[in-house]
Amino acid sequence: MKKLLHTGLCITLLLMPLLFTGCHDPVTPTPHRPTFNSTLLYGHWVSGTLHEYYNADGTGHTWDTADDIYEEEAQPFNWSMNNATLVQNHLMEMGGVVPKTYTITTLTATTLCYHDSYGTSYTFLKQD
Amino acid sequence: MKKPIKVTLISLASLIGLVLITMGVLCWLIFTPARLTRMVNKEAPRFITCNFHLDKAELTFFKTFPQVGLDLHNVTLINPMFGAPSDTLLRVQHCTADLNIRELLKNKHIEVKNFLLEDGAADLYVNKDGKNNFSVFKTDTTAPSAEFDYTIDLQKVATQNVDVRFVNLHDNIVASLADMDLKAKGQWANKSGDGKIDISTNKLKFNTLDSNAINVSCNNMALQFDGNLKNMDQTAGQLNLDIQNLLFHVGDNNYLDSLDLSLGTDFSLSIANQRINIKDLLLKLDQYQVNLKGTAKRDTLSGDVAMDLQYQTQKWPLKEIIALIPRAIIGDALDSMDMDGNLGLAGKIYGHYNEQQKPIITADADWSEGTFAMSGFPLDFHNISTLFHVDMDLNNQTDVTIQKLDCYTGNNHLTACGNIKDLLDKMLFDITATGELHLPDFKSMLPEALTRCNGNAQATLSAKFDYDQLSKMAIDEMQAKGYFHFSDLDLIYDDSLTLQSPSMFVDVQFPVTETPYHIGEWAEANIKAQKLTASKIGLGNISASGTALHAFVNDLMDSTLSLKMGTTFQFETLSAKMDTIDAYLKAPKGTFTMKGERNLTLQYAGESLLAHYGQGLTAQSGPLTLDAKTNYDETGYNTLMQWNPSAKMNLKNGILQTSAIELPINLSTVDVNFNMRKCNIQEASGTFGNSDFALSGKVLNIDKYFLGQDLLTGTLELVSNYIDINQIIDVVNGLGAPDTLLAEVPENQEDNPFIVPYGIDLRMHTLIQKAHYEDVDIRNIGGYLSVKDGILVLDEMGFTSDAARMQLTALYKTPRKNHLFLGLDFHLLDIKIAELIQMIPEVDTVLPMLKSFAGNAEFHFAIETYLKSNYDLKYSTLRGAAAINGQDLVVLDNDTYKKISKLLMFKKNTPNKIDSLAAELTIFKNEIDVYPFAVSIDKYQAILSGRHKLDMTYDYNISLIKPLRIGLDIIGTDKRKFKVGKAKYATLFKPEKQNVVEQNVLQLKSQINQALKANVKEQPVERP
Repeated sequence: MKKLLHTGLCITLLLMPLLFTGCHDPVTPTPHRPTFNSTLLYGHWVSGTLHEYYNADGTGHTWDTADDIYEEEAQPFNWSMNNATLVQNHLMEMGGVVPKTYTITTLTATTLCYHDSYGTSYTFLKQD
Repeated sequence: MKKPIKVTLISLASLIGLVLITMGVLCWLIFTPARLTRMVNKEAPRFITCNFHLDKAELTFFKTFPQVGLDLHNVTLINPMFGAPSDTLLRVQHCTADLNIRELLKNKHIEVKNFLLEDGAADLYVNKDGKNNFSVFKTDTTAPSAEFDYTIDLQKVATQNVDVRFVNLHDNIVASLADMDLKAKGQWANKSGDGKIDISTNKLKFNTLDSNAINVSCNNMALQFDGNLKNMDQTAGQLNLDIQNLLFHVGDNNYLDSLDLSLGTDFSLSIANQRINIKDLLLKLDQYQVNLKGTAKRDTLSGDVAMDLQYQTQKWPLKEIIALIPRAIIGDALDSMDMDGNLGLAGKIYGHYNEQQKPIITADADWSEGTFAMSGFPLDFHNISTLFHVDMDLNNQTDVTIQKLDCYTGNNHLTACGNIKDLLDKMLFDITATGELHLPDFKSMLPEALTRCNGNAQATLSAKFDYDQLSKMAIDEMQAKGYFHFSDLDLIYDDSLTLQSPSMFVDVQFPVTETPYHIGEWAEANIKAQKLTASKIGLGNISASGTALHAFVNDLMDSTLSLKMGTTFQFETLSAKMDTIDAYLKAPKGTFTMKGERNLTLQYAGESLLAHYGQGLTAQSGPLTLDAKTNYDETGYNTLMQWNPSAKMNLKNGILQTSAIELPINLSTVDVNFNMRKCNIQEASGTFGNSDFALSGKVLNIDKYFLGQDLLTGTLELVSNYIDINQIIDVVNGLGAPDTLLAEVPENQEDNPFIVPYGIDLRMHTLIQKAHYEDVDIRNIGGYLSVKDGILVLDEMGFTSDAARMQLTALYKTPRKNHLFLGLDFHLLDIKIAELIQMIPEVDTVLPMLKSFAGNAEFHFAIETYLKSNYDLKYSTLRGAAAINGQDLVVLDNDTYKKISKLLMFKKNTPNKIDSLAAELTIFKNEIDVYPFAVSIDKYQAILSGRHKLDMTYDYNISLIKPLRIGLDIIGTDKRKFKVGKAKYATLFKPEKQNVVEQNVLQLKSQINQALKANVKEQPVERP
């Protein structure tokens, strides 16, 4: 029981900085799921070395410069957005798709935040 | 002597003297000059028709002693005639005659004791009508003509200092004799006679007045004739003639010019037939002697002279004799020649001489110590010794037959025989010569392009050519056949083609009698040389032993033509170097043609070959046959395309080694048909390192590949018993990759990732019994291996190993050294899980829970990622999906299982066996999402799901749905945490109770599973 309390305390401490980012708590389910304007998603988003680019036609590509990858070498994906659910279907060159589903918590002209069901969250800033 | 007799004789002599003195006094007193002059003047008109005058006539006693003669002083006959050069026919200072009148009148015997004309001149004239001025003696025209039945005895007839001029306009003749002295004596009776005559004159002139005038003149001519005349026709005798400064011109042609001529001969002459028979004539022209004999006959009607003469000369100095030969005879034929030596001639002069014809002159010539040079001909000859025969036929042609010729030119000794037809015009040579030749001496005779010609030769050459060809050195128009043994031969042709041989035998012939190569063959040669080297700038060089060539070439002398040749060849050994290619061939033979420098063909067969292509390629073979051709195009992209080769090759026991590939390729058999468009590999079998192969198929677009216009495409069939993949990957690493790619410095400079060849689109079907990759032996490899422009594809390659039956589709491409793409579509059927992890350790990384199971499973795995130059994953690019299906798996009894069993309240004796397992998972970056799957252990049924990260953290959920519903979260970080809660997927496999999320999950699982298994082919089960 001590471990459980200790764990809960640690999680609380870990989540504290997130409260100050303006994003919703990725772990704690939000009772009311907001809707976002998908057009705000169009364009180039950057999170550190990770880049994502969303086209209006539902295609996109992503690359991570930390792995010595340039935009022209980016990997493609198709995306769709339904309310706060963002689905990325990453296209494999060998054929096949790797689906990833995220929940958007913030989508503004400058900021994009989403997380998955395992608590992995991302915060992107819009790149001109 | 007795005194009475002496006294008697003295008395008799005195008496005779007294009588004579008395008679003289009486004659002087009775026949005084005045009386005698009147008598002659009175009687002369009875005998002479023209005017006659003499100053004085007197008897002579002592002048004609012992006869009494008549001496006429200043006798003048005047017979004017129109056109005659003078009215005076004859003028003589003294005319002394002693004629026996009594014998003349009594016995019709003309006995001229003495007749002398002194210091006179005669002008004889015949006009165009044939009337002359010297027919001044009266004849009895009324008396019937009677035969001349007188006898004549001329005891002394002479003239002194008499000039004779004769003009005959009827026959167009003008002649003159100056200071002529004549002595004659002879007898005549019964139309026959004999006598002797000596004529000499200080100057003789004779000329005709026609258009082609004959002019003859000389100084100091002396003529002696001693002979007879029979029946007024046949005459014979000896004739001697000496002439100084003889000139003989016909028109503008000078036949003789200021020469001394002497002639002595016995001859016989038929006047009626105008036939002369010369028995032994010695003719000296200056100091040059000719012996002549034979006959000549003049046709009285046509004037044609038929001759049949034989002559023989002494040894003449040739140059002087040539100078004497009238230009009218020889023309300018010898102008370009300079000849000397000693020439002896013997021959015949026969045939007809008239205005249309000239007699044929034959000569057997002996020319010794001779020299010969001809302008335009580069060689001078000396020490000429020859016997030859000449047939000089000025009507047709003059031929020379050389029976023997021995001469030297430069350092060369030549012997020859043959003939020269039409010597004075076309000079058609047909010569067979042998010689020991020093080749540099003949350089100027050979083609100008032959810039170096060193060596010696023993030669036999038969040649046919004419003067025109010879003067122009038009060798290509001649006919020749020669046999040469060259030693120390060193040739350079056109400053680009060289040939050297210490000993070479050559049979050469031109023009050719056959044209086997259709290259405009002009000459052919059979060449044999034990050692031979040759080179051609821009083409290469060769060194050969045991050479046997039968070569044909086009007209080497025509500078407008490029060299063409065709040859059969056979060598014991041959070393060749062409551009960056050098080769050593053993026992090669075949045919080579060069239809211009840009069009080459080769039919080749050899026992063995060793060749190097620059530093990068070494090839050797056993028996090799090659049928190749090239068509050079200088606009070609590279050397290979410039030569544009096509070849059909068959070799045994070959070895191929390139700098780009460390290991040699051993070729037991190669049967290839190659051109720049395609390479048809009928069979190429051998070994490559540890691997063996039998390759067949086609490779296309070779030319477009080099031009960068298209990929090198091909379909190949590879059959092998064993392939060492590790070794092959090592040696073909980066073959043909772009320079920019090869020059790229990877992140870690020690990294040297495998770069897939570019510009190639090859698809190879493999049937490999066994292969070795990493540490695994795999068998029965069947499928396609493709390389396409930097992309390596294993297409549905099926194989088996100890662990599983496998099917692999792999994609590997290398856009950058530090950005390598690897994609795998891997299906392992009936695999032992433990061995799978051993074979592919990365499986444990992406699916760590798998090592908790034991047993056989079916594993379908699709994953792709980009790699760094050291093959480290670029996790941000990692994408994948996997499906595992297993039956009767054993959950390994480890601490984790014990913990889970305890938390889920399994009974202690629960068997750790899973009836079935069907799991799907996706891989994205470092996240491995395990989609919910159900497992059954004994009476327990649970659904597992969760995420595993490559940093070894995980977040799994086990939803126990039977016999009770309880959930267990297992969160792994540094320390594993377990959390009991609600079952997460309680209704996942109950369709009637599924929510939307669960439906989506199952749909994704289905899609993933189907997509993964779509490419699975049935793999044959390997028999134990």
